[in-house]
Amino acid sequence: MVGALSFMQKRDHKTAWRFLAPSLLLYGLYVIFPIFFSMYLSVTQWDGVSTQVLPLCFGSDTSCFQNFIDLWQDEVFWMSLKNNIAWLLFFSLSAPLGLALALFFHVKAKAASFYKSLLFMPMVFSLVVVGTIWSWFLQPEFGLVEYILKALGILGAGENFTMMASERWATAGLIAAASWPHAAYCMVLYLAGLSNLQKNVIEAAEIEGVSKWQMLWFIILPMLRPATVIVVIVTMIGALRAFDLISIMTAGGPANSSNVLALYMYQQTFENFRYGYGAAISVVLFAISLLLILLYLKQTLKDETGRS
Amino acid sequence: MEPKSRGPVYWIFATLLLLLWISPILASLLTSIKTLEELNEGRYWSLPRNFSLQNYVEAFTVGKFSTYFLNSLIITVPTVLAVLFFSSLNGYVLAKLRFRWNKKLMLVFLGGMLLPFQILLIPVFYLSNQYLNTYDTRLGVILFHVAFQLGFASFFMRNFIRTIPDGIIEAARVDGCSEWRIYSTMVIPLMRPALAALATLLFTWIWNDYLWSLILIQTDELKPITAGLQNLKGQWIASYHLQSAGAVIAAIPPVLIFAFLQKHFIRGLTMGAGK
Repeated sequence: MVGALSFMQKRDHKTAWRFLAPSLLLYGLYVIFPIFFSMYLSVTQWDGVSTQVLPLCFGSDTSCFQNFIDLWQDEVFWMSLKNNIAWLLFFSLSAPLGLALALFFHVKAKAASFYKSLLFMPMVFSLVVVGTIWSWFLQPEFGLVEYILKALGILGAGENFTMMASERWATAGLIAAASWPHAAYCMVLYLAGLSNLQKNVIEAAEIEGVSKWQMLWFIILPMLRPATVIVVIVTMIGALRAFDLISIMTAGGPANSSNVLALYMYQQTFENFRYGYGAAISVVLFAISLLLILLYLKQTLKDETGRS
Repeated sequence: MEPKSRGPVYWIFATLLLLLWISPILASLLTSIKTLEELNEGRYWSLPRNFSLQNYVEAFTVGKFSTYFLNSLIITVPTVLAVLFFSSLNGYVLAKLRFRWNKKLMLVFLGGMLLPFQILLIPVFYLSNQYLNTYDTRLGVILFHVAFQLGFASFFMRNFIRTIPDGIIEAARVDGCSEWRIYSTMVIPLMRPALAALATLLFTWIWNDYLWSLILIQTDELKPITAGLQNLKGQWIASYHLQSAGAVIAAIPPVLIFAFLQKHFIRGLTMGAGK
């Protein structure tokens, strides 16, 4: 029956629209429309005040893509992009860390669930809280890290631990702070995966006498694949979204050395009032994320058809 | 996989690991009950001389944390309720109605939840400022949060409602029940566990948000606790005793939710990870 709808379907359609209407209105206004509006703004030089905004190339010989051409020559943009790549790489280490913690604490005992609850705790903190705590955790002079390094004799009496003031190491400190709650999150996902593993396969492997590493690599990890897919996606999205922690701990400094696209976009837009330029940065960020989003949608569709 | 039981060596190692992991939390708790004099003497990592909640009192009064705390509640609670309501309606449509756009709609909701916020910043700021008159109001932040969270929440609800057997819904339809009655009297009661799981997640996410209140709220008296904590850091730069008290206050509600509703919280988070 192509084109024609049965009575039941017509009734369902009417109800569907009625149920969905408020959500579609809100979602369209605050999520869908802004994507296209940002794309439009990225080819303008809007100052945030003028009511009439035309693309750069209208009535002038400037290229419509001038913002993107400027980006290409902007050192801070490249620095931020490089840092985002560092985030993608090193923030991902929270996944194996979370897996290791999950394997270690996957233990039968009442105390273990108490331990696990405490380990999960950082996951529910705001990144503002994490940033506040870690800022003085990593402080020179009286931070805990310096205290430990001095106690161990790694750092001399007159020396200071200056990681967050170093152009080279500030991003590492930020990623470490961000990994703390994120590894806890990965641990939760992996523990759920572990409790669902098929017992008989593992028992069979034990009888065969496989080593612990073989067991992990060839049996447990493949069975944890659904958990890993989710972990990888949330980690990569998290790396691209990195904003709160950086804005709180270093504000992108020293000398933009720890800046990332999300923060640079904010600074250009709301501190320098270059809305068009900010929009162009957000479009670049969106383009990178789009790859991940499409991958995720494809994976979800595959799971859906696989199940039904 | 069955967990194994372990010996004392394991537990010693596990305890050390745990202490290391939560040392930032312990350090904040310790610092939050010390006086500035004690910190100035360099006694950062020792037990406090005397137990005092003075820093907390000061954070609430001088640091205006009572206002910020209240604002966070005013933003978070209505947002959670509204998302639960609308997303369960959407979930019902996506899971149980023969609606032509179901699949496309689901992809739109799913894709939206992974967007980088920056692509939305300028337009949402502009809309709130120029057209909706919601700039610098708590309502403006609420509306955005509701809209954005609908993506994940609708998908979550749909997955749960799909597990309700079609038979009982068909039976109600044959009896002449309206879809609204089926949704409100049959589906909602069955969804209590899913609603609880989603509510704990949403509460935590909205409570912890910093970016959107930064963009959409200018007046200090309307800001939520995350922004308040950042203000505290800016105003009392070296006052770590106050900052840590502030950090603890900001963390308490999500920690309480997690402590009491941990099962719901984890079930919500792991949906999909353990299939």
